[in-house]
Amino acid sequence: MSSPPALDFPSSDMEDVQMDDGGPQAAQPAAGTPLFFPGTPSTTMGTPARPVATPISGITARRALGMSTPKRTPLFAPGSSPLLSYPSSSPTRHARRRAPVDSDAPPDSEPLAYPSSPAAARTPKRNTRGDIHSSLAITPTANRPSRRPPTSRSDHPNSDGTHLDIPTSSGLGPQLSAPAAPSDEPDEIRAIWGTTVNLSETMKLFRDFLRGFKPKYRLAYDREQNIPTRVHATPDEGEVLLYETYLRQLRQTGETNLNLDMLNLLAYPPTKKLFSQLTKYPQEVIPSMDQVLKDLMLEVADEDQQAGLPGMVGEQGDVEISHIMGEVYKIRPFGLKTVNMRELNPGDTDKLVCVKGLVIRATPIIPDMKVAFFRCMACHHTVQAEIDRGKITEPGRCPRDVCGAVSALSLIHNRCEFADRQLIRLQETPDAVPDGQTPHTVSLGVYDELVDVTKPGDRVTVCGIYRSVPVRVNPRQRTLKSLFRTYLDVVHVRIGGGGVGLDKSTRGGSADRVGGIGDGGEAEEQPLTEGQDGRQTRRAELEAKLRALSQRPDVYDLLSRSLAPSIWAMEDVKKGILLQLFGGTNKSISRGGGGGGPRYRGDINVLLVGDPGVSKSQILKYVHQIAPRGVYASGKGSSAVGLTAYVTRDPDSKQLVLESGALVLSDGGVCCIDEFDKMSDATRSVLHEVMEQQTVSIAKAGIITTLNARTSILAAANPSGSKYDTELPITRNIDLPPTLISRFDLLYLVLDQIDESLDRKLAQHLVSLYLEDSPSGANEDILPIHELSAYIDYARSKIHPVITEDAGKELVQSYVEMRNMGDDPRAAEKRITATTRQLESMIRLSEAHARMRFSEFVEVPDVREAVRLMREAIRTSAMDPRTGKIDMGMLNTGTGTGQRRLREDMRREVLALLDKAGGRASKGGIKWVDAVKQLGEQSSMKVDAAEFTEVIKTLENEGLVKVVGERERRMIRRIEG
Amino acid sequence: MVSSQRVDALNNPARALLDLFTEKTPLDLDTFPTAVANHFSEIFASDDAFQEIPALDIDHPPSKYDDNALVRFRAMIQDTSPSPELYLAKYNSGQCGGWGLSKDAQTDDSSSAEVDDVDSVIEYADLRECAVVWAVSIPGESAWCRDGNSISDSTENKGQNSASTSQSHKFPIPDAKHVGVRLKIYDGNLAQSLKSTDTHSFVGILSSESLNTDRYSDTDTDKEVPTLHVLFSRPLTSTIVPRKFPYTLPKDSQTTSVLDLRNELITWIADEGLAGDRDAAEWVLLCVLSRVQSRTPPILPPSLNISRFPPPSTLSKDSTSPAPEPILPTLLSYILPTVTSVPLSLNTINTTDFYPQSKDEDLHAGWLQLASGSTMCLWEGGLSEGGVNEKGIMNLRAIQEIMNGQAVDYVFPFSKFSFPTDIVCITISEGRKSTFFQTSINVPLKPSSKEAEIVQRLYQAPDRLKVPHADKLEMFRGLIGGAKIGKVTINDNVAEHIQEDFVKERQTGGGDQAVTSEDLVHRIMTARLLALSYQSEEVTIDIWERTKALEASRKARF
Repeated sequence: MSSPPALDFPSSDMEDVQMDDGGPQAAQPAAGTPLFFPGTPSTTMGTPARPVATPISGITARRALGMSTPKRTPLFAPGSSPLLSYPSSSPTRHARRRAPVDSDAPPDSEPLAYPSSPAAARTPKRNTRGDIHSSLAITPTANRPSRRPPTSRSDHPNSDGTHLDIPTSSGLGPQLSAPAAPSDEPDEIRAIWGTTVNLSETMKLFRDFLRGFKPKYRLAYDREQNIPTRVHATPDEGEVLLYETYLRQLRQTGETNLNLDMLNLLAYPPTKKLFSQLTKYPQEVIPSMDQVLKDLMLEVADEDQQAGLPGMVGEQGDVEISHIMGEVYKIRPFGLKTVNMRELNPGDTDKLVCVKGLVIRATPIIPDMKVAFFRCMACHHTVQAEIDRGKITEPGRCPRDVCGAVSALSLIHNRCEFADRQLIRLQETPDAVPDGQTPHTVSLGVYDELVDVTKPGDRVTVCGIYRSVPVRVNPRQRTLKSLFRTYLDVVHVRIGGGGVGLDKSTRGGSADRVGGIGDGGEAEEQPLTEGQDGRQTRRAELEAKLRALSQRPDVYDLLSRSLAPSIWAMEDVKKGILLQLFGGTNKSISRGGGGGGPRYRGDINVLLVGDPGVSKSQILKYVHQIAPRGVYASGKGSSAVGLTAYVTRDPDSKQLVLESGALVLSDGGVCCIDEFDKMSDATRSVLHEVMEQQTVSIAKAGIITTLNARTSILAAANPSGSKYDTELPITRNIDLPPTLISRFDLLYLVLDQIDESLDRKLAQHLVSLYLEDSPSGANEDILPIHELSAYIDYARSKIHPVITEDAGKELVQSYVEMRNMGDDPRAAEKRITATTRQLESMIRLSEAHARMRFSEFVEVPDVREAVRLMREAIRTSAMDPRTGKIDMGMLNTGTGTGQRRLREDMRREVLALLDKAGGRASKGGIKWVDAVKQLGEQSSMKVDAAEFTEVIKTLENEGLVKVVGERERRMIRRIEG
Repeated sequence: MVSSQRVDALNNPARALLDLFTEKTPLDLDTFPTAVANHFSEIFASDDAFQEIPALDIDHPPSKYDDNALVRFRAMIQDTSPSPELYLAKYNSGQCGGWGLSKDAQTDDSSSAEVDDVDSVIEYADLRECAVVWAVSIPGESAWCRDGNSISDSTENKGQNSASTSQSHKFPIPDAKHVGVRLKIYDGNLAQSLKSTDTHSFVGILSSESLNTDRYSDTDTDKEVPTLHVLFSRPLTSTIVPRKFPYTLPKDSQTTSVLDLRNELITWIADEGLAGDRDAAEWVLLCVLSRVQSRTPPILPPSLNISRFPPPSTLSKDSTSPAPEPILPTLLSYILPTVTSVPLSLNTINTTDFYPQSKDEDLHAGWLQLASGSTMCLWEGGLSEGGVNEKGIMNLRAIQEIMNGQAVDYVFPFSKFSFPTDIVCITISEGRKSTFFQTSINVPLKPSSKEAEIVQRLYQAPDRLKVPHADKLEMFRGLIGGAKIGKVTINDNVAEHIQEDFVKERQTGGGDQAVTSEDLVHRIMTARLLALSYQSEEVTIDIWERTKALEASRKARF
């Protein structure tokens, strides 16, 4: 039998499919049919009291479509199986909230029987939440008496109530007992088994809470707890009936989950004890709260209808209300103090706990049997059995007295009820793992809406019920009871549980998918929950410690000293590198073309150039240890991208060498490159891009892609000769293209100068350092590496300094000064001492300095220090050894002004020489060596061979001269023209 | 009294435990595990008594013992990540739970009725937690370290029970014979202090339990693994056998001084392992007795590379026999407690795990998961041309990390954890320097024996190795073991000398040959090792000069 409208609306769940066992029920849906509004499943719950008429409003229409989603499964047709009629739809999803109705019960008679009782309407959709194995949607008693500490177990008056909902006998399903909802009958005393917790009182309290909670209570509570609070903009803001608003939101959005911040319970004076009840007996309290929620949903809807609120007028309101009746509403509590998963102990069993972790694995969705459906082979009597602690007890004999056949019951799979279930392994977050330990994992069971909310790799904070179930130790042994495995049945998930590194923008929609209303969507709750949880307190401790540290006047020196304690002196180098570790702030211009405009890097790049054996590599190794995501690479044979390498026999030495020990560049960290000068040109060209655009473009196997490489580079290079030649400018000393050198914010020359007193001090330092077996380093105040690392980490993630006006002026002034340094009234030409690159570097360094002292503002002293560092670095690196003056042009273009002038002179002289020679001899030109010699005679300075070559090359390019011959026999000829 | 308790405990540990439980009733379930540990460690306090407990090792695998036997297991903690389990500390009947004790064991008549009573009430308040860790026999443990427990019959058992070791992925050395046991630790304090690669002697009740009790659902692979319910444990030192520093010669020895003994040791290493190169042998000795002394500032063991090591190919014309490996690791295993030899072939690099990795919440071991104080010999002779894949790169990097910083990264899903280690790395390479690694010391081999013999001697078969007399060996071990734990200081006047020396050398050296600060640090560290090898508690000027000479002769070899 099918109701004709159902055929017209195939998407509706109304279609009743005749089951083979449907004998007794066959007539019943028919009886109900007239009550249904044709074609709109949402109205199927429509009780006779509220006749519904067409046309359906927009909202209802949407809902009607929504009916095909699992949330809106039918209530009325016990025999119907969307699974059979719509094979294309996901069976489990449809099945999961199928009405578990005993075959014998006349299901659709219920709305008739209890037309105005919301509880009754709810009954057929008995709340079988997967997360709360308690099937006691309404009967607020435990069906596992043993699980409570037996204070008064044997003589508890309500113990008989525990089995009310277990359909042991045929006729009386839970449906009949269920309508006796506690809220309807406050007189009835129902208590959580073995405790004095009165469930009806609990429900009443919760009802009050939902009705009466206002944000001001939370505010008061937070103040009491010394938690920083957000001040309400207006007094009215604190007076809003928060949860009533949420209830309306639930109705309007069609959501069924209400996220409940448990601290609000604590903050609302009358419900203080509800907090501990919920924590201790979630299994009983949560379903009762669900019940209250549903009642209130209806109440509020009713009130709104009376009040004639938009969308709730008349029939529209009826539709809404009947819709609400068809829903299962769930409370999802959260906001509990998080505990480390190591600290979960047996005492937490069956309590509500909150843990934080990293999802490392998730199973596919598992159809989880909630209610098993058995049929007696002899008399076709049917029995349902609920899951209890992961087990379903098969009835041993047919419960019907008349039949009583033993072992005649068989499971009917497609009449069983299933729910979505997923198993997740949650691992401790790295910051929670004690030193030297491996991370622990815990299993989570997630159900229904929470399935597939999290993905492996997510950091989550979950609230759930801690379970322990017996396991078989040994298949040979029959004992089951002595060993238990534990897991968490999750009731609430929050993604991004305060961990670091979650970029909310990348996973924007995900939080929404958790669903539910009231999840601290209000901004006020965000900081509060952070302050509450256990991890946070440890973090808060650390934070306090770091903050205290940052207040020390000598923090700058302390940190730079701790950077590489075993390396003597080089204070400025250490300071520069320290600021590199902190980094400037990244800026992006929100306006402009494309997605948000260009991004300005905040990363500071540092290059160390120096003699071998001056601990450059050591510095790099220290930094690599300290820096977040530090990567250490040796320039020799490393390619910036790709991850394969090849062992090959070197053609010269016949030795096996490893070619291209490749490393992925560290996005968001510091990449330490040793032997930078020995890097292949191809690799280095990649670095050009990395250092300015902060991306790596790869063209490989037909795929062209650009990867982010937001990394600071700390490179060390050796001079091109074995030793740094102080007579030559730096560009000649380092075999690196000037374009690349100019991309470093700071360039330090670390020279190994032989100086007796310095050497003595150095030796003293080193010997004293290695004097003892386990040098304590106590003589100096040094931060351990992990603390330094934590400090930097914290600053990088939390502090984003902004440049103040004063600092801005100082920056401008310093920049102008630096540029003016080149203004030498005596010199004819103007040297460039600073370019905008240097200005940018200055900004980055001042930001880093402000960050280092945990300041939200860049102030004048920050700028001064940045400028000082810059000058120091420029002084050592950009000094032209010939003139003794600073010339940035040397770093930027490779030739200093002085050099350019020199070349100009030389060029002139060479031409003059050639002209002279041309006059004397015929076309022979002049010999290369002779030219050099003659020039040398004329000039007071030694003629540099390389300079000479350079000049000749230019002349050749200009078409003024021609060089013929090879090597020693080269001739320079003047081309007449 | 104690001795009778000992016998009881040896014969029926479960009964002894139950008796203790009854004796202590009424008891605090929280402190009972500690009481158990105290009780049993007291019974076996003396070394003799301790030795009486049958040992669990590769010669005596779990399969040789009955269920519920009392055994001791000298082990390295491999994996501390399994989730702890809950157990019922007390049955309803008031009997003791935990330590694998089932109700069956306690009620002598098999009261199966009670067991079937599935619905019988569980007292959740009596649940307690026990830690589950995986432990393996100490990787690379030398045969002499395994106490007297009849080494002789080890040859007979070979092969027979190698297959019986389950979970072989949890042992650092692939395909090596080992014992892997799951430990259940009931004493919370002990459980918390255990860290990966810690070494302990665990004493407990051996049984066999299903592996997957921890798993949430997939019970299809329901393997059984040996499980040791730990009663008590003793931590082991890095030398495994306790040593003293400075080492003193046994009275009846013929060797007159420690110096002579040291010379004999170097000669033996040089003659048997390095074709007579005494300098290289001295460097090997200095390396093997080094350890991590401090991390800030880093005083780490130097990494040694013996370069110019002749390839074996000239000898092995017959391709039937596998390529011979250098004898050096074998030789070292006679005098060091833990030696691992890693033949670095492309296959090893590309396919085997070097660093521990967690796969499906199970921590798989890697070559580098070694106990503190281990020595690792990396031999590059097996290399050929070919590609190194991503895994290989990561593996090589992991080794270099150990050489540079004595730390191994354990890879977990979405995170890495760095664990400190203390492993001495000696690489043997054919070329001028190591193919893969930057080592702190590079000694080109200069064999002093006859050309024709060199390769033969470097790659001689283990059974042809000339091993000194057992007493002598024991003295060698004592010398090295003592140095391994020794402490050395530098006196003020020596420090002064060193400084002066440095300044002078800088003045005179000049140019490219100038000594740098790095050279100085390196030299100080070498001097300390040299002092240790002389069993001297401080660096003297003499040792400083010797250090310089040793360095100079090494440098002269290039």
